[in-house]
Amino acid sequence: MSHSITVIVPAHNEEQGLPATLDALAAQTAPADQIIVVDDGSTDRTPEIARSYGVTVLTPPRHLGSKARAQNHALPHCRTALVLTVDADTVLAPDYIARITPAFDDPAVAVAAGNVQTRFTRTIWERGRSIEYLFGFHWHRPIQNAANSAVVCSGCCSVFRRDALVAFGGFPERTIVEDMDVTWSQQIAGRRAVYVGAAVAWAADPETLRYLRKQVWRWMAGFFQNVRLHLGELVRRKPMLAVWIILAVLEILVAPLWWATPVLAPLALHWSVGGTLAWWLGAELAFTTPPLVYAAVRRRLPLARVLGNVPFVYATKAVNLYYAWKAMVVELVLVPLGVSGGLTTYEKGRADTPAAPL
Amino acid sequence: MHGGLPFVGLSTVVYTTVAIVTLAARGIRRIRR
Repeated sequence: MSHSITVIVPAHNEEQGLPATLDALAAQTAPADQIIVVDDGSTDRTPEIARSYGVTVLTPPRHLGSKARAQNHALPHCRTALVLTVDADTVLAPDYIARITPAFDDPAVAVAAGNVQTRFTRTIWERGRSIEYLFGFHWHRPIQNAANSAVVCSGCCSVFRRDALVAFGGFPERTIVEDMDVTWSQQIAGRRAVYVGAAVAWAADPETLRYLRKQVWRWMAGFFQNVRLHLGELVRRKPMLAVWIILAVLEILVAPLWWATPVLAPLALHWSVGGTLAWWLGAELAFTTPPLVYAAVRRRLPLARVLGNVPFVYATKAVNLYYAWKAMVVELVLVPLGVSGGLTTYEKGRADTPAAPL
Repeated sequence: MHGGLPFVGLSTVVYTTVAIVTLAARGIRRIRR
């Protein structure tokens, strides 16, 4: 079954990343019917670059300031059965569209996304992220998919069934991570969200701590905004998805205690320092290495290189954990108490212009 | 949000269990057919 498809590329000051994104879209073995670049308040050459590729360029009358709003600006211009959103720093494999659209042969599927991999592995943050992706996309996602309960269809390369998306009111602007909001909402409504591992996309991940902090804070705050918004209904209507989410929250709650164990156990339980450390490291390796080895074999990556990047993941995990706790406190405690408004400003790492609040 | 490594390892245990149960259920279904 063939499916017509429109690609939306929201872009704010993306002159560096946009050419590779548009080259990859032009090289698709199953070309899109239309490509729309939303030039959202760019002050660089983003619109000129987009026009040079012969794609439709939409320029909102004012800086919309969020990915969801930019995508919603383009949605009324889409006439196809499917809509694919691609970040302006993400590159799709040439067969991405060809591999992901058959998922929509199932009329229950409302949203689908492929396997995201790191485009660059130069800095410690990119190396750490590459390990996170290996774990997430070759272990968590396929298992969530097998249990028909995807936690998120990544917004950098998600395909949506247009009529379901329009009926839902477009890309949700009520949380800071619209991809997770759509993924959960569609499943609560009885439709399916699926992961297609054979469709590959390469994302440019944060190369600096400054950029990483902004991205992780946005992701974590968005996660807890969705927990606040949806968890009750998920428990009732999509219990398996609720299990993954409660598990993630439990991990965040217990993590500081687990990370402090090498210090606390010798002090409180009088365990030997060396023995405690060996036990802790052994447990860490036992929990993480087997899925990573499996992922490396699946991807045909050199095992030594993958395992050599494992130490870097502790740097990204530390950043993740800090912002997970901050987000949990802000979004689940301070916002309900009315003390804080939560994170409402969509600030993309590489953009130089502050965005408007939601 | 793209998903990452577990902070503790609780999820690895649960995910692995679900994977084993799912694969076993598929295997049993295939044998019955």
